[in-house]
Amino acid sequence: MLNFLEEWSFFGGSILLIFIGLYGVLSRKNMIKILISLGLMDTGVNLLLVALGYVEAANAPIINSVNPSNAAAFVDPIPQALVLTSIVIGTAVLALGLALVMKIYDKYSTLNISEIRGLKW
Amino acid sequence: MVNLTLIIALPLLMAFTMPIFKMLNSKLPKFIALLTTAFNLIVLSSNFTEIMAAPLILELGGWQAPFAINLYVGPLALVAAFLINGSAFILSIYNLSQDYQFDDKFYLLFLMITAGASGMVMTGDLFNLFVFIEITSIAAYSLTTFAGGSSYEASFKYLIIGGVGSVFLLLGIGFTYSAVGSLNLAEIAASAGLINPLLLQITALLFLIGIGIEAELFPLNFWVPDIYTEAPTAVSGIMSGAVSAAGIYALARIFFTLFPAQQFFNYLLVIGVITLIMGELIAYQQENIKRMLAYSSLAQMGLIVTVISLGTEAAVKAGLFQLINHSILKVLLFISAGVLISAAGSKKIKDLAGLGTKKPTAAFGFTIAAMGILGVPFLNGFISKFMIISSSLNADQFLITFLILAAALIEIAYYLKVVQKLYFEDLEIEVKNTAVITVPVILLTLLIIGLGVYPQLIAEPLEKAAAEILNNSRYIMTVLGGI
Repeated sequence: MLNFLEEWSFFGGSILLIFIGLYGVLSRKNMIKILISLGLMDTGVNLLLVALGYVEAANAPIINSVNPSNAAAFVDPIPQALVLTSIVIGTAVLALGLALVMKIYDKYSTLNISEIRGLKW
Repeated sequence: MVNLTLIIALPLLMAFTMPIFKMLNSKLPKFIALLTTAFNLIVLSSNFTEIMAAPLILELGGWQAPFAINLYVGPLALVAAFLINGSAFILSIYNLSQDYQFDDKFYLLFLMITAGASGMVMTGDLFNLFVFIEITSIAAYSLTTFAGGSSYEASFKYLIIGGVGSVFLLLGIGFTYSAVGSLNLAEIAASAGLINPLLLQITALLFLIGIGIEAELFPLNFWVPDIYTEAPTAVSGIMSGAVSAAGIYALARIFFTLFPAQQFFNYLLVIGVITLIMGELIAYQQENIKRMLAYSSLAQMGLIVTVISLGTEAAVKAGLFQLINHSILKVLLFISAGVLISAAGSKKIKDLAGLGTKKPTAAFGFTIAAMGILGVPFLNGFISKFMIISSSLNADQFLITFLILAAALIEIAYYLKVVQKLYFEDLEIEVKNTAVITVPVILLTLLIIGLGVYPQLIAEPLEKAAAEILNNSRYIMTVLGGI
C-alpha cells in the first residue's frame, strides 16, 4: 500500500495540481489569481514530466569518475531538459501576463475581470 | 542552394540586434525586417527544386536523426514556409508606411513571430514544435498590445487561453514520450501502433486542444475576434496569414503523420464543420469590419480542416490550395481594411460608405480579395472552391458539400455588403491621410489573378504535399533511413 502511494503520488499529485489550476483559471474573477492558477498548472505539468523520467535509486545523469557511464544507473535526462525549457517559457508567460495586468489596472483601476468590458467570456 | 536553417536563424539574429540598428538610424528597423523576410523567400526559392525531388533533412549538431534534433523540410513544409515568409514580406512592405511607437521592439517581435512560425513548420521534433509554438504565441501576445487601448485586454485573454493550451500540449508530449520513449516525430510515428488505445485517445485530445488554439478551431477560438480587432493591422494580417497556416500544418503533421486513425479524422471533420458554420453566421452579424474579417478567417480555417480531414488525395489538395488562397487573400483584406479604417477613423462598416472613390487602391484591393474569397471565376478562390466541392462530392459527403455551399452563400452576403457600401453610397466623412499600399496590392492582385488563370503554377508542390500528408511511412523512411 505504502509502495503504491509512493509510486503514484507524483503522478496523482501533479494531475491534481493541473486540475486545481484549471479550476482556478475558469472560476476566479481576479486577474492575479487567474495568473497564479496558470502558474499552478505549469508546475503540475513540470512535476509530471520529471516524474515520468524517474528511475528508482538512480543517479543524476552526469558522467564523471564517481559515476561511470552506465545508462541503467541514471534517471532519464530528456524529461529534465524539457522541464528546464518549460519552466523558462512558463516564467516568461507569467511575467508578460503580470505586465498586461498592470496596464489593464492603470486603465480600469480594477482587477476584477467581470468589470472589464473587453474581458467578458 | 542556401542552408535552410537560416530561415529560422537569421530572423532570430536580426530580431535581437534590432536595438543596435535602431541606434544607428531610427529608420533602419523597418528596412531590416523587409530585407530579412525577402532573404528568407530567396532561400526558400533556391531550395525549391531540390525539395520537390526529395525532402530535405537537416541534422543539427552533426548527429544522426533519432539521436539529435532534426529539421524536416518536405513539400508541405515548403508550401507553409512560403506562405509564412511571403505574408511577412508583404506586411513588411505595408509596414514601411506605418509608424509604431517603439518600432525597434515592434520589428523585433515581428521577426520573432516569423521565425517561430517557420520553425513550427520545419521542425522534426515534438518538443521543438512546442517551443516554436510558444515563441510564436508569446510574440503574438506582445505584438497585439502595440495598438494600445483595449488591446491589453484582448492580449490578456489570448495569454490565458494560450497558457492553458500550452499546458495541455506539454502534457500530451509527456504522455507520448512516456509511451514511445522518443520525441522524434518519425520515431513516434513508427511506433504509434504500440501505444495503448486509451492513452492514444487522451494524447490526441490533448494535442487537439493545444494546437487547435493556434489553428483557430471551435471551441478554442473565442480569442480570435478580440485579437484581430484590437491588434495593429499588420499583426492581424500575420496572425491570419502565417500563424494559422502554421497551426494547420502542425495539426496535419500530428493527425496524419503521428496518429493516422479514421476516428480522429471524424472528430476533426465535425469540429471543422462547426467552426465553419459558426464563423460564417457570426461574421454575417458583425458591424465592425475587422471583427467580420476575424470571424471569416476562422470560418476559413474550419473549411480547410473539414476538407483536409476528408482524407482523399483530391480533398487534401483542395484544402491546401484553399490554405494558400486564404493566406494571400486575408493578408490583402487586412491591409486594405486597415487603410480604409484609418481613412474613415472608424472600424464600423457603415462608416466606410463611399470610400471607394477616395481611396481607390485600398477599395480595389478589398474588392478583389473579397471576390477571390467568394470564388469569382478567373480568381484563385474559384479554383480552390471548385476543387473543394468536387472532392467532397467524390468522397460521397453530400451533407458536408451542402453545408460548405450554404456557408459560401452567407459569405457572399456579408462581403458584398461591404463592397456595396464602398462603391454605391455617398461619402459622408472627411478622409484622413493614410498609408500607401500600392505595391502590396499590385503584388497580391497579380498572385490572385495568376493562380486563378493558371493554377498549374502550384500543381506540382500541391501534388507532392498531398502525397506527403497521406503517406506517413515515407516520412518515417526518409527521416530514420536505414536505422
